[in-house]
Amino acid sequence: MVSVLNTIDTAHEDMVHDAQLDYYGTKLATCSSDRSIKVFDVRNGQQTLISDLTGHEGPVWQLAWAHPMFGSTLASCGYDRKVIIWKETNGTWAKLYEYSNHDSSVNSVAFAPHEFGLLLACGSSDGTISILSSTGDGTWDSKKINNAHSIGCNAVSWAPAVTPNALFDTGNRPPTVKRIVSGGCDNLVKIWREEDGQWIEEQKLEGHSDWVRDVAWAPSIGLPKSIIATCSQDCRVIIWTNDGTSNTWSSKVLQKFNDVVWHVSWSITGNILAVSGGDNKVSLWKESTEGQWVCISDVNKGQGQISEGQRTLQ
Amino acid sequence: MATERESETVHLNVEGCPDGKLQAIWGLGNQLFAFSGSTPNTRSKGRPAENRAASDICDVRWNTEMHTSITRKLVNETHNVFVMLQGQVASSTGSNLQSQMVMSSKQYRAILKACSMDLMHMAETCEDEGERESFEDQIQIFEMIQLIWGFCQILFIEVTPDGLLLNQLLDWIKWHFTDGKRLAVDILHDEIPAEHPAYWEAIFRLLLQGEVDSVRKLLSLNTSNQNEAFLSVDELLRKMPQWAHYHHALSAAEFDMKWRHWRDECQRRLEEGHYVAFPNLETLVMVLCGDENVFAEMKDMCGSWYHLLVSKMLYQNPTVRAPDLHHYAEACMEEFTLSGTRMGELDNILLAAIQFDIHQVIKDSSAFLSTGSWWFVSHFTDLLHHCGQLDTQNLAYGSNLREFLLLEYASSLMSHKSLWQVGIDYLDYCSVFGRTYITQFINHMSLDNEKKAHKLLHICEERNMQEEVQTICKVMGMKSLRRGKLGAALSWFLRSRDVTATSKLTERLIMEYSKTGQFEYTDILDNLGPAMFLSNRLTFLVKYREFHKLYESGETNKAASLLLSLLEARLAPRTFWITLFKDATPLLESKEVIFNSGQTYVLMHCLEELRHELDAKTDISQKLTDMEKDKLDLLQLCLTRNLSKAIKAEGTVKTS
Repeated sequence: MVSVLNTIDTAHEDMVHDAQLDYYGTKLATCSSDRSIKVFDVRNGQQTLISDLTGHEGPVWQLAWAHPMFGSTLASCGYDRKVIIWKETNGTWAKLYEYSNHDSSVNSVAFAPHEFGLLLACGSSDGTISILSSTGDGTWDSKKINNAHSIGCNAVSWAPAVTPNALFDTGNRPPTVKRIVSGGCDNLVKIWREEDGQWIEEQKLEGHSDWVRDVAWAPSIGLPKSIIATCSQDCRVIIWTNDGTSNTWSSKVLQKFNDVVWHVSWSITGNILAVSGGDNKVSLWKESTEGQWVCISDVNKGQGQISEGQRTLQ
Repeated sequence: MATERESETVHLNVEGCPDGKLQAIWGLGNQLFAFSGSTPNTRSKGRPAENRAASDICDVRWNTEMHTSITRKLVNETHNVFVMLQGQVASSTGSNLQSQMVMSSKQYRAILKACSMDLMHMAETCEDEGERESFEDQIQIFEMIQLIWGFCQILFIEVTPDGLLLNQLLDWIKWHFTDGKRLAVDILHDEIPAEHPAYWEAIFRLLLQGEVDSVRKLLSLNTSNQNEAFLSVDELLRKMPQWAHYHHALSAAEFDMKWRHWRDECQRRLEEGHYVAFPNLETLVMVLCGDENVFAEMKDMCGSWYHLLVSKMLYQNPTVRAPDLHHYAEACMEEFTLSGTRMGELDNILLAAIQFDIHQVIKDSSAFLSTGSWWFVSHFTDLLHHCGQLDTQNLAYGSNLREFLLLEYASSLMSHKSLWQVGIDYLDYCSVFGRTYITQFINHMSLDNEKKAHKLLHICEERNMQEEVQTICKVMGMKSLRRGKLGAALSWFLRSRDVTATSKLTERLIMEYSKTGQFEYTDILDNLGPAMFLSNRLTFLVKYREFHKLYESGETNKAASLLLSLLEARLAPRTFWITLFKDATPLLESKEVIFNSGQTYVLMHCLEELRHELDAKTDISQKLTDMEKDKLDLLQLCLTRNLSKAIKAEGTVKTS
C-alpha cells in the first residue's frame, strides 16, 4: 500500500529541474528554470519556505547538499556556466563561493563522502569535470579533468568512502581511494580515480547507445562489491558491478523502457533503485533473492485506500 | 495470480502531475519525495487550483501498515518475542529449543489475534466509511495470516514425534470455523431446540469438526431421543475412539485397529438399516463411516477444501501423517473447483504448505500478504529458519532468505518517527548486512535535539560504531557552535576527538578571555582530565586556568613556575603572550623574589622573541595597540628590576 502523506507546494514559476533532501531529510531544496533555488523545512509533515536563493542567471539544473558536519551547505549549477556554493549562517542563506571556470552549461554537481572533506565534483557540457575543494579557511582549490566526455558530461557521482571489504573491520582504516563515475554525451560511462593529487581515467564502460543521462554509485552495503546504475537516452538502465577483487565491471540491462530514462537513484541502504523516465513514471527496482533485478510489486496497491484529501497513486 | 503479479511492472504515478518527467528522491526507509520534473511555462498567478499540483512535491511512503496506532502495538509486542527468541536460539538446543520455538510461535499468534480483535472493535465503532473499509481489509489479511500460521505451525514447528497431526488439525479448524458452535448456542437458547430450523445443520457442522460431546448433547434434545435409533447413534458416538484420549497408552497401530473395529460396527448397523426411519441419523452415521458421497454433499458446511480435508481425515484416516496429507488434499480441492469455486492465493499457500514447499509458502505470502507490511513473512521465516526448516545457504543476493526478509521489515519501520528504534534491533540480528544498514540509517537520522543525539550515540556505542559516534558529535558540535553555545560545542568536539575543531574553538575561548578577563565554561575546563591533551591549545587553556586558581589561592611560587612553563613550552598563541606577561607583572613586583634569576632570563628571552616578531611586522603587530606596546616597555623594566632583586637574593643565599 502506498500513501501520500503530504504535498509541498514549491511555488516555482517555471520548470522544476531538481529537488534534493538534505542528509537528514529535514530540508528540501528545489531549483528551477525560473533561476531560483528554494529551501524548505519539511520536518514533521509541515513545510515552510526558509529561503529563496537568487544568483544564477539562467535555469538551475541540479543541487547537492554537503554533509551536515560542514554546516548547512548547498551547491547548485546551471545554464549560466556557474557553480555556486551556498551556506546558511544563523538562519540566513548566502553565497559562499562562486566558481565560473566552465565554458558551457554545468549539468551536475555532487559532494564527496564527508570522509574526504568538503569536496565537490561538477560535470559540464564543455566536456570537463571540475573538482572543487575547500581548504577550510574559506578559500577553494580546483582541479579539472579535461576532455572527460566529448560533447559534454551530464552526470557525476562519487564512490562511497568505505573500502568495499570493510564489513567486519571496525578498526582504523587507511584513507580510501577517491573515485568518481561520470556519464556523458559520448554514450560512455567513465570511472576516475585520484592518484597523487591527479585524476586519472580508470575505466571506460561501454554499453549505452545514446547519451548517458544519469549515473549513481550505490552506497556500500558491506559486501566487497561496487554497484553503479546508469541510465540513458537509449531508454535503458544498466547495472554495473565490480566484485572488488578484479578490475572488470560486468553489466546487466535492467530493462528497456518505453521512453528516455532521466534519473536513477539509490535508497539510503542501496537496496532499492528508483528509476524515473520520460513516461512520467517512477519505478522501484530491487535485487531479488535469486540475484535478479525485479520491479517491486507492492507499491501499486494504494488505489482507493487513501482517505480523502490525499492523492491517489496507481 | 501470484505469477501475474510478479511479472507486472509497477509504477508510482502521482495523479495531478501533468505531462513531464516525474522524478523522485529518497527519504529514510520506504519513503520517496516525488515531483513533476516539469511545470508549464504558462504558469501564472490566479490559475485554477487543480493545476497547482504541477509544482508540488509529494511525500510518498509504502509498507506503512505497521505505522498505525493499533498495529504499532503489534510491532512493539512481537519485537519482544523476537528478541527473546534470538536469545534462546543462541543459548538452548534440542527439544528444549523446539518447545521454545512452539511457544514463540504461539506468542506471535496470540499477539496477532489480540491486534485483530482491536481492529474489529475499531471497525465496529468507526464512523468513517473509508476508514472502516481499511480496517476491514486489514482484518481480512490478519485472519488469513492466522490461518496460514496456525497450519504451518502444525506442519513445521510443533511436529509430533509420531507424526500424527489430526488432533492439532481439528483444533486449527475449530479455531477458525466457528459457525457450528455459534449455531449450537442459538439452538440451546431456543424454546424447542429440536424444532430450530438449523438444528440438523448445527449437528452436522459440529460432527464435521469432531465435537462429539456437543453432537450428543444436541441429539439428546430431540423429541425422539428415547427411540432405539437415537440411542444407537449415541452409543456409537460415545464409543468413538479419540486419539486425544489414547495417545499416551496406545501405539498408532493399536489405535488404528481399535478405530477400524469401531467403524466396522458403524458400518454394520448402517447396513442393517437401524436408521432408515430417520434420514438425518442415517446421514450422520454415514459420516461416521467415512462415506465418500456424504462428504461431497456436506462440503458447503465445511466451507473450504481444507476444512473438508480435516473432516474427511477424521472419519476416513485418523492416523494420517503429515507427508501423506497432500494425497488427499487435491481431491478435496477438486470437490470445490468442480462446483465453480475459484482457488485464491490463500488456497495456494495452504496447498504449498501441505506439499512441504516452504519456499513457495514464503514466496506467495510475500507477494500476497506483504503489500502493507513485511511483519508476517519476516517473523514466520525467522521461526522456520531456527526450526531448521529452511536451507541456510546464502542466496545469490548475498545473504539468506531470513535476513532478506528481516531487512525488508526493518526498513519498513525506518520511515516512522519512533518505530525506527525497533527496526535497529531487528537489524542487529542480520549478520551479513545488518551493521551496514544500521550505519546508513543512523547516519541519516536527523539530530533534531540533544535527546535524539544522545539516543543515537547510545545505539552506536552499544554497537561499537566509533566513526558514527564521531560524526554525530561533530555535527552536534558544529550546531552548538553556530548557535554560540561554546561550552556545549567544546564538549561535543572533545567527544568526537576532533583536534582541529577543538583547537579553533579553544582559540575563541582564549580570545574571549582576553577581551573580558573572565573565564567562561569553568565547569567543563576544570573537569576535563586527560581530554585536555587532545589539542595543545586546549592544554594551554586548562593550564592557564589552573594558574589563575593557584594565584588566587596565594600559591604564588607554584603559579609563577606554571606561568613560566606555559611560555617556555610555547603552548600559548603568540597574541596571548601579552596577557601572560601582564599576569607576570604583579609577581615580578612583589616584595619577595618569586622568579629567580634563571627564570627571569627565560622571561626576558620570551619578551625579546615577542618584540622581535613585532618588529618584523607580522600579523600580531597589527593586533596590538600602542598602549599594549608601551606595556611591553614597562615589563622590560619590571624584569630588569626583578633580575637585580633576584641576583641580590641569590647572592645572599650563597654566602650564608
